[in-house]
Amino acid sequence: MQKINTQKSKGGFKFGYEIVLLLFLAAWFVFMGFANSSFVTPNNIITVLTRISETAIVAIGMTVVIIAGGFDLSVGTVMAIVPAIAGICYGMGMNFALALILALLVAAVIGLLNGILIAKARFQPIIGTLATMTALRSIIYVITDGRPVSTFPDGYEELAHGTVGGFPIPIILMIVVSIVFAWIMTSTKFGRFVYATGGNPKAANIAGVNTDQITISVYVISALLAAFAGIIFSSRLISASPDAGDNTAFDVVTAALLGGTSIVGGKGNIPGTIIGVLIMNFIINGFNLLGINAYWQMIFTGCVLLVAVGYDAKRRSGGFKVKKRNKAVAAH
Amino acid sequence: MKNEITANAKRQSHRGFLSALFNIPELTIVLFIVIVAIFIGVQSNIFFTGTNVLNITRQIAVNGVISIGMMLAIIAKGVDLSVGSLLALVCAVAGSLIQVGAPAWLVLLVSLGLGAACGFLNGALIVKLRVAPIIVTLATMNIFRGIAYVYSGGKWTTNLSDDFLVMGTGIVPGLILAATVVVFAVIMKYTRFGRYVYAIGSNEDSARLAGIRVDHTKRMIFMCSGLLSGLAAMIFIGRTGAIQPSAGAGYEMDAIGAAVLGGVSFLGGKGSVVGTLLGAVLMGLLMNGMTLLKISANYQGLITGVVIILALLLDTARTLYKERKRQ
Repeated sequence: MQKINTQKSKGGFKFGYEIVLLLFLAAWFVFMGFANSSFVTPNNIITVLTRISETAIVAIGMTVVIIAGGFDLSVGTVMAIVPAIAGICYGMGMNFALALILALLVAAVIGLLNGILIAKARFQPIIGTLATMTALRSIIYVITDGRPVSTFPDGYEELAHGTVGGFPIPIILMIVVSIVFAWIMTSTKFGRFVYATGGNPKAANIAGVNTDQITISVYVISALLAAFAGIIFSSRLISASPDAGDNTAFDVVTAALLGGTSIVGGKGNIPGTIIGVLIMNFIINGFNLLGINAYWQMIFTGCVLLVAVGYDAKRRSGGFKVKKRNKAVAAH
Repeated sequence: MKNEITANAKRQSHRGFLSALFNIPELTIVLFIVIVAIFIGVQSNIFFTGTNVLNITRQIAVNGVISIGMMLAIIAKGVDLSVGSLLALVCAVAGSLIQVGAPAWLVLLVSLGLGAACGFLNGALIVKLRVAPIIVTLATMNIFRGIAYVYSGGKWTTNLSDDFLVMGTGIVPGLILAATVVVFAVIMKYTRFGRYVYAIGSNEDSARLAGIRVDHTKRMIFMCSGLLSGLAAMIFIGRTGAIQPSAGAGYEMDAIGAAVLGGVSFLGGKGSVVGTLLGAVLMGLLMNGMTLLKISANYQGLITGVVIILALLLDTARTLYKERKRQ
């Protein structure tokens, strides 16, 4: 029980780090404000926020998975396959609501498969989800024949382009999902069990947490959130492209780690991840406005990932003393 | 009484066969190769022709060379996801050298050097940052790919002179693969470095306590992997006759597939060069069979993914079987 408590306090909202990130974001806004006149305009900011809502929703799922000690590289393919299935079923004359439910079920099954392979068959999370990712991408190309699916009902684009009370719907959805998951992770039993599973699976197991069940559920959550994001993404273009979400997994992992989620699990929070998503995307938006080649973004994102994990590792090795003290306390 | 004895003996021999299947991954995979070969051979009458066999060796060569580097990384309880992107980066740099008219030997030297240097960078980052190889190489995978695009401007290079195609034609790719296999089989078996790799994979802490220079060995492992990616890039250029920055996408999956099929375990400390080669052969046979049976290329990823999942399941079963036996 003590173990779970320490894990929880570690996973709580770390004020200092997030403030530094926010200061960095503010500095970037100031810099870009001088460098380019169209960056700090309400129009540009609203556009970027609308565009990043899918990334943020996927990143929230990824954060939950990483906190539980896992990793999910298949989110991009789930983003692509769900609207494709829904569109194809609707094109064959199925009720659209039914088609959406069917597609979401497929996503849940994919998450379940990932979870079972990792929890029960002891696959390494990255390798297991890399394998399902490869297989799924190929399935998408088989079912769509490599062409974008565009059979969607009228009004489907409202999801991505509509507004409620002046706010674009995707931004509202992003905020709602963030608040719900921030609440789940900090204030429910499930959230605490996720931290416990990632922090120390053996201890969690002894304390009575069904870690296999937690592991499987986080992959289902991640797949469902990715499916949701995929639906928003396809409604923006009213088309489900077979190569959608190609780099999403990498981008959201980078955002989550930048936001303070630890790659070894047990530590991280939703607000941090959202800040990570904001920083990554406003920087890339700034690059675009400055006319920097899109290929540089891959290099930049990779370097940010390296810096973030390097910093995380430093912080962890600095935290060894605390761990030893905890052990000593437990021994007494 | 006699019946009982024979039944017992039968059970024993049955168990012997089963345990052999479980304990010698090479045997399992040879069995699979034979089954797949017979299956494709029955369906297609050009499968067992000399041209096709040569074709298969050409197809296998790139993946085979890369997967030996991957094997090194996995045995040491790591993995190298950057191999495909590194191949593209080496291709891009080689392409620019070829365009300014550099001689073939210089291109080869630069390619191998660049591959080794990038691999060394991977290893150095892993050691320095103290981060799992899988994360570091996930990052460098994107960095290398980005550099390949920026360097080449996204353009293709074609119309290569014959000097550069030599490494991808006839029996040359097969010979390069064979030489690589022999060299690394010797290294893994008879050199200190080879034994250190296994030791680190089995138990890194004990290896460190036993006085093994773990950090140095890790850098060398990833340098070898990068070097082999550079070599594979040369075969790739020769085989396709074109250089594009999108080359090698997904090659890390093929290499991981070959290694785990060949019995290299993600738990570390286990695996052999011969097994990895056999794994690459099986992957190549599956892809060749798909072409011969006119199955759409869209299915390629599905087959790779499913094969890897099955191979990993077999590995898990093997571990569980051993655990149960010990009890």
